[in-house]
Amino acid sequence: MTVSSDKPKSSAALIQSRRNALRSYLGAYGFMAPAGVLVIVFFLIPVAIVLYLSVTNLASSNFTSDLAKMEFIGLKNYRTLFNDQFARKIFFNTIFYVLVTLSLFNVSLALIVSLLTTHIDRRAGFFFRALWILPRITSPVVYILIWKRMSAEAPFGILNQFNEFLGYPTYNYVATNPWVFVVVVNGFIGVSFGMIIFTSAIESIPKDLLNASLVDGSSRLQRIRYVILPLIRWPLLFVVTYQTLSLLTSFVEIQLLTDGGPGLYRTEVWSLTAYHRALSNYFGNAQWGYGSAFAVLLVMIGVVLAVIYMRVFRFDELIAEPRVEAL
Amino acid sequence: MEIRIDNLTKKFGDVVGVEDLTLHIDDGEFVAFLGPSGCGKTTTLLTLAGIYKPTDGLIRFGDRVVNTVQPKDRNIGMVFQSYALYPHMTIFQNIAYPLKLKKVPKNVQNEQVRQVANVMGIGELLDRRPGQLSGGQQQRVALGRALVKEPDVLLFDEPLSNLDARLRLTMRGEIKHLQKNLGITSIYVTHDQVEAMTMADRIAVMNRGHLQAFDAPDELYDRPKTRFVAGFVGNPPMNFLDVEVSQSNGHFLAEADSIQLPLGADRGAPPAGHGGPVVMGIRPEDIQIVEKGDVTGEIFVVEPLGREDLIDVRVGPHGFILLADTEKQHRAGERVSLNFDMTQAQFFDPQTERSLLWRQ
Amino acid sequence: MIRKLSLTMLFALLLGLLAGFAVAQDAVSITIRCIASPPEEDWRCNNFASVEAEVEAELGIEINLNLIQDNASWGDYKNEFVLASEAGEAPDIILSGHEDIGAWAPAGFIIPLDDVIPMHSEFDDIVPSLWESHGYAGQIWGIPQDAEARPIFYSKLLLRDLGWSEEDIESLPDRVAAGEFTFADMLATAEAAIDEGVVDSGNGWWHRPSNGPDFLYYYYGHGGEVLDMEGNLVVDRDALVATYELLGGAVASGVLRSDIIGLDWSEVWHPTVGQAETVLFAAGGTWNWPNWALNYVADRGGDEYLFENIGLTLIPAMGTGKAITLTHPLTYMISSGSPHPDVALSLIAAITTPEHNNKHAIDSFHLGILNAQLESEAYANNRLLSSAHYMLDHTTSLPNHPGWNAWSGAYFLGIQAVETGEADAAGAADIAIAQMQNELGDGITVR
Ligand SMILES: Nc1ncnc2c1ncn2[C@@H]1O[C@H](COP(=O)(O)OP(=O)(O)OP(=O)(O)O)[C@@H](O)[C@H]1O
Ligand SMILES: [Mg+2]
Repeated sequence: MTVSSDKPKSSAALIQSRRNALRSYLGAYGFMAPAGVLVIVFFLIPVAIVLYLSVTNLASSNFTSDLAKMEFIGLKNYRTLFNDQFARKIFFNTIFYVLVTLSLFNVSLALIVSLLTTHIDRRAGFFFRALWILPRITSPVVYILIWKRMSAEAPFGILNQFNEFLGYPTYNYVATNPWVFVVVVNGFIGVSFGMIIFTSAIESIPKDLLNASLVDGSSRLQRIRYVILPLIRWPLLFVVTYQTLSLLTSFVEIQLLTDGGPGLYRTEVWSLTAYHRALSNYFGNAQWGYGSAFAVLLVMIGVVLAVIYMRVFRFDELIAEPRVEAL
Repeated sequence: MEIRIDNLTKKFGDVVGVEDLTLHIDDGEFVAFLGPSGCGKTTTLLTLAGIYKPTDGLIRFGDRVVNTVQPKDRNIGMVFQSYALYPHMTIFQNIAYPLKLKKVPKNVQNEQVRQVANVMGIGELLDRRPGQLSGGQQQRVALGRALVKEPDVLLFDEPLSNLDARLRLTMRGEIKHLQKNLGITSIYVTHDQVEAMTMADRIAVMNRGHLQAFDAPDELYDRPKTRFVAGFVGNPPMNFLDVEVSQSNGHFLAEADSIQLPLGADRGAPPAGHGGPVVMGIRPEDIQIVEKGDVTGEIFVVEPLGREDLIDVRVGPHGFILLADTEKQHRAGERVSLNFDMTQAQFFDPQTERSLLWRQ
Repeated sequence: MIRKLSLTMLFALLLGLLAGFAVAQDAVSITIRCIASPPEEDWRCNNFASVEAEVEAELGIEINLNLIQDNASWGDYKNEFVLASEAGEAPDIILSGHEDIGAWAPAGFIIPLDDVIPMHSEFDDIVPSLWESHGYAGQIWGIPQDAEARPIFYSKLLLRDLGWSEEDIESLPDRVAAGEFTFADMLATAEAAIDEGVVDSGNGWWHRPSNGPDFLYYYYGHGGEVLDMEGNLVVDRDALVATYELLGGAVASGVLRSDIIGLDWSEVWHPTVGQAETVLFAAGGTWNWPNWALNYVADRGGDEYLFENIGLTLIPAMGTGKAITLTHPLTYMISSGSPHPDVALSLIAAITTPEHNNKHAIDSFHLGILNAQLESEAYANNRLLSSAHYMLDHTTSLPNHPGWNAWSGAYFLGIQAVETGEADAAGAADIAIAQMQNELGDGITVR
């Protein structure tokens, strides 16, 4: 069909059709309104405020909650931040930390745990999943204490007590392998979220579909590869995106475990730096403005990564409407 | 492929799916599993497919015991009631999936998929996704996917029950036709007995996990071996009546209250010999409304079925379902006289519910 | 008759109301927030309750005391005060670290006290060195609540193993205070101990495993300053390099372990140091002592074991030739939102007596803040406190300045760099100075 074959519409009909279009738009926005309000209240407004704070020099020493009274200093905070001799190192630390933890634990291990526990007896599966939830629900302080007790050097740490018993050399584990511990410790916490989402997604795949694949000649592994994984692509994208953001902003465990060390920021990540440089008031005077500049960059990294994920997962395909039945 | 099931039992914890099932299916035979909901049809099918491991018993494909053989090594095609098409794959990919798993070369895959799709009349739809197809089209895709791998055994689990009546009729014919042409041993689960009667070479009737009968359709219809089979096969279902059958000088008589029905020796002798009350069964089509018959009663309900009326007649405390020509325009409350074709009557032991006429 | 009765009742009612009103108008509400770990530090707030009647009598008013004690994290506690001040709901008196003066004075959340301090004679007896940490912009902004010393703990046990006589051991604090036994001597002793196998390599000297106020005394000990005469931030490059040389050198010679920063306090540091069997010298704080007695060596005799095997001394002299220590007093500050700062100050003055402060000092093992406390029997009888009180004469403190957080973060970064060997002393100083300059800009002068 070409445009020229259309009969010109009468202006009344045109207005009528516009009105209909308008009405259907309004209808669509009406349905989106609740989600929209949430996005505005919990994302856009906070981001706007943080953005504003980042161009002020707000600190404990000149604190005010009146936006108008804050002192505007332009991009000074950003200049300070970009001139920081460790900004690049910490940035790449952050990317490394997020991607490695995410891919090894928050996604892969979560997926493996949910696949394993949905392929075994239901009750056993439930039990194992419950175990994996423990790191999440334990308070960070207690959780890190457990790890420290495990990994502490001889003669205190449990691992080293084994080493001594078996006659192996002992180590100050966290100091010698800080990244391993940072990733593993955070990874164990991150497993449960993906695990719960993946498990329910896998369990909601119709049994017939799973049986069909086996009958069609797949092994169980092939079934995972060709049927289960593609069918849980949406939850996968969700978990990847959500966990990226939560990893980007989480720092308490790293703070308690290595505090960004050893040495020159070996395991320092962006959010922890924000805390160290700006938001900690252990020695007084939290720098809210400077800290906000860190937060703004964190949001930007998060948004960029989310967009990349949507490309990788072909998000548009996930939400494509079915084409109208032609026959 | 010949299938021999011997003493098959499948339990889910304490729940019995199927128990002590013995069934031998000939090569190329089309067997229907018929039975009410929850009787173990799907369980049996999935056990044959290798999805469930038998709790007990033996399953043989040909001479090979397949109890522990993985589904992928059984060369089975299966069609599900829900179609079970992979929603993320195109129709082409759906049909090609079994071939891909067999590592069939791409070009061969392409050729075979197109061939099957053409046979199934879905050649135009290969680029679509299942969500964009109608139920009937999806059904054809499912069938195509089952056939493309040239299976030794075809399993159908109520494949037509989600289709409308007309489409069901067409598909029925097509499946039957295909199966005969290809000669693939097939098992077809249904609880639609018309489907079973019209399509199957033999029907296995199941109830509560047990095999009730395994016979050709007309055998089941004419010579039901249990009261369950008699009642389950045939639509509308057979009428049952508690009677006593007596003999007096060569004449046999079935009696229940005021009803008295004379019958011949071939049908009358076994129940009379049994002694005591028995259950008589008579199909609706074997009762006629006549001018002057054996029994009179009053019409309770008339249900028009289109070509015929289904009529519920009450005779004293007893009710009978029968069929009558619509043109007769029977009305509720009308008094009618009935004639029973007692040469078709069935008799069952009220305790064991076994037929008194046909021994197993 | 009835009318008369009801009139009387009405009269009585009116009278009662009036009386209540009068009392309510005279009553002054004072809210005090303290951070304290119960039970040993409860006196920080509870002392006010004991002097309430006394102050009421003195001022002839009714006081409604509202004491709020937290054991929250310092960060939350401080943020809460900032937010409450901004909202006009701050307590009248806030107890916090003296370094908060550096942020809260410029923000206008607390008031200067220079004019009113002379009105209370109780404050005359406060150890003079403590006032230094309460100044900002030439004024005094708080009243010291307690003090501590951060000494070097030395293992008598290990020194004996090394062949030191009892007399050498017992005289060590005096020799250190006199500048005879210097930091270099201490490191040499540690090296000797390692050579002779008395301690393992890395265990000659331990400092704290995380950032904290202590580190500043190495810089002070090399003549470094954080604030100039005008109260502006400065950094002395030479002192900085010397500090990093000391720390890096200690690692290089095997006296100090390179992974000391990051060790866990309670899992490794305390049990190791407290038992006196592994580490020869350890830089700690007086409050460590009761913790060790209670949690780490209780089975060996607690306090007795510690007195037998551990001694404490000033930080031996470094570049300046003078032994020092550092104290981090907590401070009562008066909110600028308080309607009755005079009453608040009177309350603080009333508890600034040997009698009241001793209760806190002894229960919580903090040093006293008044000279007279040394003369009081309870304090003098406490071996630990009386043996450490002299340290207040040698003490230093953190600066009060809004930029201190940035300064100390950069300073600590240099320490991390030099101890892990990622930079030499000069390189570490460059890193730290670059960091300070980036964050503080014109606010810092490099000397
Ligand atoms: N996976 C399972 N776990 C537990 N019980 C099951 C399972 N599958 C089937 N059953 C039980 O086994 C019995 C037989 O079920 P089956 O699915 O074989 O019935 P069906 O004959 O196919 O019924 P329908 O006609 O409704 O499909 C039922 O009681 C059912 O509840
Ligand atoms: Mg079923």
